[in-house]
Formats: sequence, structure tokens, C-alpha cells
Amino acid sequence: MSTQDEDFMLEDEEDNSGHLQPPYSSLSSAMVTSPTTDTLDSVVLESSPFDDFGKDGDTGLDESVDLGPSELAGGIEINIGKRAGFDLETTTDTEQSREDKANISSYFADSGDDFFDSLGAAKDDNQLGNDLFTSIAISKSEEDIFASEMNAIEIKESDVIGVGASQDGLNNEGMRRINSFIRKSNEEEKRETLDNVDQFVEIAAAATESLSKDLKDQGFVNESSEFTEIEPENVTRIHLREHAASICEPETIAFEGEGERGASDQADLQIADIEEEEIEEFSQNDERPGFLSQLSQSQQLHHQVPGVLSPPVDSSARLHGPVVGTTPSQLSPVGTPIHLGDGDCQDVPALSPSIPPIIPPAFETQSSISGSPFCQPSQEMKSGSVFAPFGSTGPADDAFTSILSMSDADRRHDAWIPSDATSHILKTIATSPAGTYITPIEQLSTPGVLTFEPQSDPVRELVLRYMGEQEAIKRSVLTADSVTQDIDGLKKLIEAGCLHAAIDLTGVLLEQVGQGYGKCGQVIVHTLHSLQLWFCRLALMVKLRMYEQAEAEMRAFQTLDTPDLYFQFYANTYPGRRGSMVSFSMRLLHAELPLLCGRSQETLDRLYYMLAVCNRIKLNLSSDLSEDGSATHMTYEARKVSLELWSKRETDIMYKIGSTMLSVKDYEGALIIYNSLLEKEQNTRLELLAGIGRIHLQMGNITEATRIMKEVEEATKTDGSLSCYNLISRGLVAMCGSNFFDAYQHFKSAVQMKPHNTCAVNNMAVCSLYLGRLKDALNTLEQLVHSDPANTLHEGVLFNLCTLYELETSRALHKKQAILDLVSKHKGDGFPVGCLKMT
Amino acid sequence: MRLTKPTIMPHHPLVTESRDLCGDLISRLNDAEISRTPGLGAFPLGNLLTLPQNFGNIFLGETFSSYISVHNDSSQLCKEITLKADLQTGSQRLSLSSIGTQPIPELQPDHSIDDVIHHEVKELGTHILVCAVSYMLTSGERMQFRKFFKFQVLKPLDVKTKFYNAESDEVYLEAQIQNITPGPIYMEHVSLDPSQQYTSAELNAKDGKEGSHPVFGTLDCLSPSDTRQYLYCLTPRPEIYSDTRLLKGVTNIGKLDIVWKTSMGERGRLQTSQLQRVAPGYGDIRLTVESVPDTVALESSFDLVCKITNCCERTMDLTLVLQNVTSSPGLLWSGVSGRQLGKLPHNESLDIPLSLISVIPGLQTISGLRLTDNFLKRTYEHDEIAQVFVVSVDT
Repeated sequence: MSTQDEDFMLEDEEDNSGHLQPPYSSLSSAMVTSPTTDTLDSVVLESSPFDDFGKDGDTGLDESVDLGPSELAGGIEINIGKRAGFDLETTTDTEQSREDKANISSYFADSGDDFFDSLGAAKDDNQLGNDLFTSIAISKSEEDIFASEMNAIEIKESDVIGVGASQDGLNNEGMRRINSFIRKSNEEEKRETLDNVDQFVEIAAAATESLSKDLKDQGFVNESSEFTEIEPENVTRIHLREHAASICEPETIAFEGEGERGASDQADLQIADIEEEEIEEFSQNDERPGFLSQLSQSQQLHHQVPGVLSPPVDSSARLHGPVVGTTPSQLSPVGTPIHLGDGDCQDVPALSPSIPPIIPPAFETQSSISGSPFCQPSQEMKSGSVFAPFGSTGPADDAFTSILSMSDADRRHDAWIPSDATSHILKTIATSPAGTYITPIEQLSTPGVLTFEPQSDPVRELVLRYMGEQEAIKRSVLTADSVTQDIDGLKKLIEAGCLHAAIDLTGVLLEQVGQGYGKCGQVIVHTLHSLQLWFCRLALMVKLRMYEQAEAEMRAFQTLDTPDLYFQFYANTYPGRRGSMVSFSMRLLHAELPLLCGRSQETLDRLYYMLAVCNRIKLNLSSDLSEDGSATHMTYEARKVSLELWSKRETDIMYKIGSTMLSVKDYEGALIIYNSLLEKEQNTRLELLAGIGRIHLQMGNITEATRIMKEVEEATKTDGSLSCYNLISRGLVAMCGSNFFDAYQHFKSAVQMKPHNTCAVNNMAVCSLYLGRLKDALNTLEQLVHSDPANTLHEGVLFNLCTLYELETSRALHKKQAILDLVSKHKGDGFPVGCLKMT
Repeated sequence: MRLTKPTIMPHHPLVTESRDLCGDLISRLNDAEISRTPGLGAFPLGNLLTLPQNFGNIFLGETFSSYISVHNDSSQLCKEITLKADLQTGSQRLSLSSIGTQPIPELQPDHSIDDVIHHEVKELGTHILVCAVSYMLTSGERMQFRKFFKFQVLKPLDVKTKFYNAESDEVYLEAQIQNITPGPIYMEHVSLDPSQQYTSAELNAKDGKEGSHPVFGTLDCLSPSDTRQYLYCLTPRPEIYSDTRLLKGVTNIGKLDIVWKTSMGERGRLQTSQLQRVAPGYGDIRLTVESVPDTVALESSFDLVCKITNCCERTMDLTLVLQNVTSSPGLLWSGVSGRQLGKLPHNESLDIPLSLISVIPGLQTISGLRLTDNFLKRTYEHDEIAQVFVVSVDT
């Protein structure tokens, strides 16, 4: 080390463009610039967390892993094993729920199962020799069977506290009381009515409530010490008997889940023609960000409970959500707890204090319905316009207008099912005299442009920095000012690839509709036009990887479920139109944003919510209703087109779910999604199959990838146009097996077949490097880039080229400038300059 | 530059519909993207390969590959270039260069000497790649320089093992393999290479309709910090029974051999050291069950054959006493108690046929066998010898 020479540091840096990245970033944000100051030395790697084994690892030598069996004799091992077992179980359930996309209700039921499973898992950890606890578990299952629609959270709370108490070994008054209640429930199990259970839970909860204070004092310390005391016992048992596995076997409550799933399936079958006898809604005020609804059916009482939809709540919505006391309330996306009555608006029960009282509807609901020729079986989905009095037109006219003014295509594309809370507000608005119902502002979407400064042109900045003002002036690209200030101008900018300028222009256009800079938080009237502008703006931001900004501006839209984003809210402007003003694409974008900001789980929640709505719409369509569940007359053709559209949208969502899972390297989940798509998408089956093969490659399963690629190849034997792609696939497989020479040959053949396939050329160059032929690689890429700059200046290709420059010479900057020059001449301001690694 | 496997560039298309404002334009932008899958715009993995973006992590058992390029940036001709690439680890120094020690006669301006080196990493901790280049200017002046690249080798897997000794001399090995890398790994191959004393059988597959398949599901992929348990059954080879010492004390069981792949088939392989187990001591007398039915009918008698081995150094004179103990009321001994078994020399064994009657249905444990050594007046109690399932057969 003493001879290390400063002169050569520069080359050090270039040889190693490496820097430590968070594990997922390579997928989520394709090309991250690597600061040139990175050297191997600067790579901060975490030290090995388990040094105690002194592991040395060697295939040939015997010095490798020193495993300490003595350490393993402790009870903790068993415990770990058990936990792992449970984890496995829970994941399987999640898998199932993913597969269960065919119907909403079973999805919801499944997520409920997860919750129960995990509860069961938690119990079993503490369960050893704890009779008291077991009895709680049993009584719980009874409750579930008898009263499946009972509020889940209440049961859980009482159980959990009960478990904690028993585990702490407290023998105090409250515990005994619980115990006695449990016994009572055991005795009465057959005769117990719903009310009894209800009462029981309430009393039990009250009893445990009094315990919770004590628990806090003794709390976790006790808990953990209890753990260590229990575990050795477990170990000895295992040593004594070979049946130890059966001891460890979880006595989980799997049967509950199955029972409930079965019940909900039935509910699902009947969901289309449910007459609401009784609506009961329960929701959980807990941390679960997922679907807050339960759909279940009590088999004994034959209660049919319609599903409750509410989008996943994001943080901003939660801020608004008023905290409600003990009454079961629904945490809706707008944070409005609403307890729906019999489906009759007039029976709206007392609302939470944060909501102004709703003025009773102007029309007698029943009478107007009977007068309407379009009698709708589902009151909940009743068309709002029927009752909305506007201007001189009478209600009878409106019924016709509503049908006429709403074209087939509009209805088809705009259809969306609002959450129950939102649909309730919409219904209230529709049934109130115009202008009398004022929606609270926190339940409205109040977007505004957040950045005032115009977007700069990053390409120009680089040119200015490295090539001087002269060159920078020469660069001629469109800006927001150089086009007409309207949609045409916007289109021109996007066509020219000037996406930054296009964002600026959307800002200007939004200013025109009163949603410009600083308008965030102000109540404004949304129009189709303004929302489309927003979509365009946000989509462009995502395209330019301005994720944080996009998310900040998207935040005002909350969960895209506020009442003012539906046509029904603007009965005057859009008479008779129903559905979502927000386009489906914008919803997808909204769902995808959290992932791009590093919160993949939130994205999955939103996507699965969309999938659930999508499935509901498809179900409505196939059961002779309109998309949103209202009764309507549709021709066979219209219905078919509509089904096709929504099937396509469903597929879009599925692809997004798959790619989200892939982003977080959840290969198993992604493969399940894509394999299920294989069935659906017969037209693109082979392409998708090859894609699945690539997922296997990325994962490292070369055997399976080889098999899949072979299958694709067999199937496309006759189609010569695809053989180029097969060759590329072969090349990829060979490369993953470290047969770089074979890979090179495959890519080369592909290039010979299609000389303009940029991908193949690029891959060939990449392989050259692994064969030690840097010069070849450079020549290939340079030729590619210079031959057709307009089409081949792609960030991936340029990233490779610049990486090679850095490897080749310490004068890489000069060579990069030549590339920058090309980019400046051919590309708009939306070009991702990060790939040049010049900043 | 470290040559990890290239990656496939991910593609995140914006989904638009033709009704959207500029929807067509944006979808045209997507179509122009060459990293997308042809014909399948929404799929996130295309065919475009990108070079490694950074050094990344390197783990024990993986192969370190690096590209070494000596490029003549000057306008002068260089002569007699030698390139040495050594890897300095905590304990040794390895020469990795594949270019011979013979100097390369000359290097033209703007030309380069290229080499790709590979090394399978066998040590944890700091590694330093030392590249030394010496060359001669046209003036005949000898020049040289060295460069250092440092990297840390991390541990990818955490392996814990546990032994279960069965009465039948079989040993069950439970190995917990935990992925402690930050990314998922694909377990290509996990096997146990038994030592000479044992044969091993894998217990990680279950029989299904389509033949046997692993218990780990369809995908052999281990997510970060996930643990997977492998179970092996080791049976002593018959020939070592002749020397019972081999079954006592510390014995070598074998080694675990693990091969895994990470992103794009980056391969890693590790083998554990010899796993050792301490065989349980059997005391003076070892009692094993030679034969016992697993299911018996209620209120019927059944036979049990036990084998008694004298494991101590002296000869024993044994008396067999059968007690019906309260801890297992479901089975009653049938036959003579207090039987003299005679002398049993060191290391010899004796089969004793016994008979029991079942009186309570369910899983019953055989207990209450007492052996008394008449020389020392010492009684050996054997409880929980075996279990039988008693069923009622009246239907």
C-alpha cells in the first residue's frame, strides 16, 4: 500500500464505476449515475453479521464452515423453526389470495384469513402448556362460526389481550372472569345466539380492558422471560420422542379460514342479485393499509351481506380521518365514517361529528322509483340524476336525458365503482336540493401545481458545462414558449421529446383552469379537461423519473376517490353522466407512484384494490347489469365490447402487479401472476413465455429458463420472423451459464438476421467485453450509435458505451462529449442524461 | 472493472389509453423504447443487457471476475510491458493474471492489453487486488506503477445444524440454511455428502401425483433473511457395526454441499466442514426395540422383541422384571416377571421376546421394563420404550 501512487488514482476511479446501491434501485430506477469519485475503496460494505463461525468456505479444502452444534442445542432453534413454518403458511395464504383474483369477496375473505393465521401463529408461540389460552382459541372459533359477520377487530382485541394475560401468568380477578366467560361459552356453544356472542365479546373485552393497565406494567419484560422459560421444555420433549414434530405442530385456526372462505364464496355467487335485507359494515381501525372490508355470510342466519369497497387508505387520507369512538365505523378513503342503514338514504344514522348534517332528500325515494321506467333493483346504485332537480327540467325528463346524454363509450370507459363512503355522499348530493349539501373540503381533491420554476433542459446544461456556451446556443429544441399554449402545443412538445418543456406547458394550461401554482388546497371545479391535463403532467413526470414531485402533486387527489372526481358530483355540468372523471390510466399511475418512491407494499395494495373493482365491474357486466351495478339495457354487442375493455384493463393491472413484484424481487409472486396471464393472453402467449423465461434467468434458475426457451423455440419454429428473438433468448441463457463465447455467437447470428435490432447489437457488444475484447465492444457500440443516432441513442446503450469508455481510458470524458454532442443534436430535453455519467 | 453478470434493463411503461390526452403520444414513446419486450409492451423485462453499474457485493463461494485493461493513453510507444495481477487476502497472495510472465514486446499508442481474471473467493474479509505494470519508454527508461483495489468478501449463508439420534442408530440431521445476503438467491443444489461411516437419504421431497417434488414449493428461491430447513437421514453402514466404537463418541457425519445462483446466474458454491456429532452414551445397558407392531387391536396381546446390549466393560448377570407402571395404564405386561436372563458378557447382546395386552384404546407407551444386575445389585429402569396405537376392532 505504501507505494500507492496518486497519479493513478484517476484511473482507479474509472475502472470502477461502482458504488453501493440499495438492493432494489437497479430495477426501480433503471440507470443511476455513478459519481466518478467512486473507487473500490469507497465501496462501503456491511461487515459480516455472523463472524463467530469463522467461516472460510472452500470447495476443495476442509477449512470452511465451522458449525457449532453446541450452540444449536438451545431451545431458540426450535422456536425459529416454528416461526419459519408459520411464515410459510402465511405466505401461502397470500399467494392464494393473489390467485383468487376472480372475485372480490374471496379476496377480501382471504386477507382476513391472513390476519387470522398470523394471529394463530402469534398464539402458538406462547401456547405451550397454556390451557387457558387454548380455551380462548376455541371460543374464538365458535364465535366465528356463529357470528361470522361480527366485528373482527373486537374479537381480535379481546383475544390478544387475553393471550397476553395468560402468558404473563397473571392470576388476578380479571383473568378469572374471562376464563369463566369462556367456559360459559363452551357450555352453551350449541344454543348460543348471535346476541349472546355479542354480549360475551363485549363483556370479555370489558374485562380485558381492565387488565390492560396491569399488562402495561408487567408488559414485555415478562413476556420475553416467559419465552425462555417455556422453550427448554420444548427441547427436551423433542429429545425424548421422535414425535416432537406433532408437539410443535401449530394448532392454528385454519379451519376457520376455510369455513369463512367457503361462506364468502357463496356470498359472491349471490352478490349480483342481493336485496339488502340488512347491511352491516365493519371496519378495522388498525394499521392494516390494505382492504378494510370484510365480506362474509352467516350460514346459520342466512344474512346476505354485500361487500364493502373502500380503497386502500394512504397517509394523507388518514390524516383527515376523524377518530371515531367504539362504534363500528368505516374507514373510508375520505376518512368519513359512515354507518349505512338499510340502504335507504332517509335512514342515515348519526354521522360522525366532523360531517355536517345531511339535508334530507327532496324526493320520496320509493315513489319516484316506481314512477321511473328504469326501475333499478339496487337502491345503492341508483342513478343520482333521477332525483337531482336542476333548473326547469323536471325529474321525469332527466331520466331520459341521463340515458341519452351518456354515450355507450363514455359509460364504458368512465365506469368505476366508488367506495361506499363516496357513493353515499354522491347519493346524498343527488337526492338533496341543488346546492344544499356542501361536501367538506377535506373530502375533495384540491390539486395545484407545486413547482413554480420552469423545468430546465438537462442536456443543454451538460453541453454548457462541458462544451461551452457556443455549443449550448447551437442546441435548438422546442420550449414551452415556442409552441402554442394549448393542447396542440403540448402534443408538439411531446412528439419532439421535449418532456420537460411539456411539463412546463401543462403547468401553464392548468393555470388557465385555475389549478396552477399555489392553488393546492383550494376548492376548484374539476373538468374532464383539467383531469386529463393532470394525468398528462404526472405521467410525464414519471417518465422523467421525477417521482417525488409527481407524488407530491398527486397527493392532493388523495385516493382518487373523492366525490368531486365523479360525474355525479357535477349534475349540472354533466347531466346524466355517471362514473369516474379520472381516467383509468391515471388510476394506474396513482397506484404505481408509491413503488417508484420506494413503497412497494402500498402500490400492491392499490393495484389489488383496482383489480377488485375491475372484477366487480366484470361481474356486473356478466350478470346483466351495467358496469357500475345499476340496471340498464345494453345490447349484446355493447356488453361484449365492454367486457373486452375491462378484461384488457384487468390484464393491465395484472401486468403492473407482476412488475411491482419483480421490482422488489419477489420472483415467486411475479411468476404466479405471469403464469396466470399465460392462460388469458393467447395472442401474446409466446412472448410472455419468453419473458417468464427471462425472470427465471434473472432469478438464476437456468435449467428452467432453458426449458422454457426451448418450448418457445419449438412453438415458433415455423415463424421465421421470431427466430431472431429466439437467438437472443439463447444468447441470454448461454450468458447466464457463463458461456460467453456461445452467447456472443448467438447474438451475432441474431444481428446477422436483423442488423437493425439495437438490442442484439448491444448484447453482442456486452458479450465481447466478457470475452476480453474491449476494443470490439467499443467499436460495435460506437458504430451502432453513429449509424442511426435518432433511434439508437438509448440510455441503456449509452450507459454501456460510457462504462466502456471509463474502463478503456482516463480520457473518457472527451469521448463522452462526442456522445453528448450527438444527444444534443438528436434528442429533446426529456433524454435521461444520467446514463452518460457526466454529472 | 469487476465483471459481474450483466443485467437486463427493466422497462416501466406508462399505461395509457387512446382516449387519454396525449395517450397515443405517450404510448408511442413506450413503443420506441428498445428495452421493452417486442410485442408485449407491458412486460417489465426485455432483452437489453446493461453492464454492471457498480461493484456490488461479493460473497464467499462466488467467483470474482475482473477486467484488466492496460491502455496506452500517451502518444509514445511503450516496450516490454509486464502486467501482474495479484490478489492479497488475509492469509495469502495469489497470482491471477493469465498473461504469462514474459513481457509483451510493445504497446502502440491508443492500444491496450486486455485480460479477464477469475478467482473463486475462499476467504472472508478484506481482499486487495494488486495490479503492477512495468514498461520501458522509447528512451529506454524503465517505468512502473501499481494500483490497488480493495473489496470486502461477505458471508452469504448462515448454516445451523442439529442432530437427532434415533434408537435405531439412525441420525437425523436438520440443517437450517439462512440467506443473509440482501437479495434473493436461488438454491440450485443442496446435498449432504456423508462420511464413510454413513449413507444418507434426503427427506426434502414428498411424493405427489406427479412423482416426488421438493417440499419447498415450486420455486427454489430463498428471499433475504429467509431460512430453509433441510432434513437428512443418515444410516450407519452395516460394516461398522462390527466395531461399536465407531458409533460412540464423536463421529464425522459428512459435509453439506450448497450451490446457489443469484441474479443472472451468478454462481456460488460452499461446502461446510465435516459436521460432527457426539453420539449419545447408552450407559451400561442399551435397550433397543427389534420389533413391535405399530397398531394393535384392543384387548389383544401382542409381541415385542427387545435387544439388550451390554455396553459396559464387565459381564453382567441380569434379571428381568416387568412392572405395570401407572404412567402407562393402557398396556399390561403378559408373561413372567423376575426372569433370570443369565450372564451377558461385554459387548454382547440378547434378544428378549415379550408380550403385552392392550386395555385402553389410543396411543399407548410401553414402559416399566426393569433390568437388575445381580453382581452390583443395580437396577436399570427402561420407560417409554416404544409406542403402539391401540384400536378397537369391533366394527
